[in-house]
Amino acid sequence: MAILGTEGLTKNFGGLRAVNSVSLALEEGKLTSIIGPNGAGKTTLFNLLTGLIKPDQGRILFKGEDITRLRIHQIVRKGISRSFQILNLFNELTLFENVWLGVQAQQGHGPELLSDAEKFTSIKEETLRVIKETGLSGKDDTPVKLLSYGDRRILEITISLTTKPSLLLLDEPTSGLMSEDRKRISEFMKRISSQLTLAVVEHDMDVVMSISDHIIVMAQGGILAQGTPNEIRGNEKVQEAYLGGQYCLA
Amino acid sequence: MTWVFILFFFFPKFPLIGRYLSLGTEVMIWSLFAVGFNILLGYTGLTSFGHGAYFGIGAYTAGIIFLRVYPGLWVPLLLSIVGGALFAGLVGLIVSKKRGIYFSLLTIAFGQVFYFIAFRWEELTGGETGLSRIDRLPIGIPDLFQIKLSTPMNYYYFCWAIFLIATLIAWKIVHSPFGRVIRAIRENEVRAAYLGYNTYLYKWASFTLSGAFAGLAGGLYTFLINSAFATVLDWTQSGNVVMMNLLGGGLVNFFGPILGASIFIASRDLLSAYIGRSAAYLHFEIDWLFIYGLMFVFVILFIPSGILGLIGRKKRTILK
Repeated sequence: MAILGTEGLTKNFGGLRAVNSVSLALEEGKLTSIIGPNGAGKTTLFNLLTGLIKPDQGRILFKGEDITRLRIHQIVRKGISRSFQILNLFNELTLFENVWLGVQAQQGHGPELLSDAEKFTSIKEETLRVIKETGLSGKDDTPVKLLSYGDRRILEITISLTTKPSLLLLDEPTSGLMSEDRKRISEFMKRISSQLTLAVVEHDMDVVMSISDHIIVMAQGGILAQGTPNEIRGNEKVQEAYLGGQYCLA
Repeated sequence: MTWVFILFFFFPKFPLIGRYLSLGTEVMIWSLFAVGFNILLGYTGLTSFGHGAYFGIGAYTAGIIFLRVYPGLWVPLLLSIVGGALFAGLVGLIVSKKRGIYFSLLTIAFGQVFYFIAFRWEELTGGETGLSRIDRLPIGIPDLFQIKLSTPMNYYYFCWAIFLIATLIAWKIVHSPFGRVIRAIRENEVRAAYLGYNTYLYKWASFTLSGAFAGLAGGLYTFLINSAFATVLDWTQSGNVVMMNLLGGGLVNFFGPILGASIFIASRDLLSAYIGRSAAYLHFEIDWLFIYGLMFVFVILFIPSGILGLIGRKKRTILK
């Protein structure tokens, strides 16, 4: 069953058709990778799905409900979360505070004006638990801007998970990482994929082929092909789209 | 926190400056204004250049209610808070959708709207002449226990108490879950939205709250000078409160605005008194505002995080 579906989703930036009548379905519990050359519209698609920008045409259905016109925080509360290609964290705040903010939102706190934040022990406990689970313990009080790039990538995914989504969109989670950290992240993705539906934009074909249940290939704003890793590997159209063998699909 | 209020408590006993009670009162009123304003500027990261308007609305509300509806102290003061919050709340509905320079420009525009309304609506505000004879009536229970506020000393301590309570409330606000969310918005509004926070609502609330503090400060100011003029709504007032925050280090320390307001008001009085005099003696025409302006250019250029930012540089770089 599809947890999320789009119907004829279209977005223009001036004369450029960034996303062109995309209709897709993300199967519940599956890990779907979205691949394609730069400028194919993958990030724009994520921005549309999560309400950062509004489509010019088309609809987005999440669990059967039309979420096309909802605002970001409403979509997040429905159960969609995402990470960003370019790290998007609270840089001046500490690791602990970054995670805290996600947990606090998930537990429905925030509007309390006059109560001491320190007294919300359930937020504190959950925050410490999450940090421990991600293996970032001991860096709690470090301002995020001082963390290593790999740690920040992990944190980026971690705080997207604090909202307890049923669908998580990861935009190039391994970009800019060394192979060690790549392995760390792809194992992490495999592990969480058993608990929720994942959609991942990824350039690293080794990662894509090894973790995906389903692959959607985008080019020039539209869907070029989709199928299982094996089907995509043998698809000639896909081979052509990746000009000059820039990405090896073998 | 404590030492700030101990300092203000003993201010009237200080040698030399202790005599200038109304100056001390003014410092506390502006400090209150600036501390509330810093919820918006320092914690939420939104630069409003129009909060003089809510100070002015508070000032006029107190005056108008006193003269027309209820000659007392508590009711006009309470309604000056309501007035400041109400109008900030209305403007906030519109400006909270904006960010950065657009936000700031809109706040200036609304500030000017209120200024011209106050200036032109003579029937209500007295226009250019303003409102006067707004006396400080005694508080307490008649015939039983009363405090005369008409003396500068008593009014000083009255303001001290209000300043203390208001600052405590602001302290609680910035250390609450709400306070954490507005800091998150300052750091990264998009990410805050992606955690599920309705950032628009939080920005609006922050704007409205700072408007309430501004309104209260305006009300206290009206009773200090026993009158209300359109100049309290002037855009320079809005600039002053921004300046006080930057000067003292409101971006890095909760108490920055208090230090900033103190230096600002004190140096204004000193400069206007001494520079005016010595310049006349030297047959040299110089406006004290010139020196004043230079001082602030210096601060912005060389100590952008303000005086407390300079002292606490190693300790922390950002508001906690």
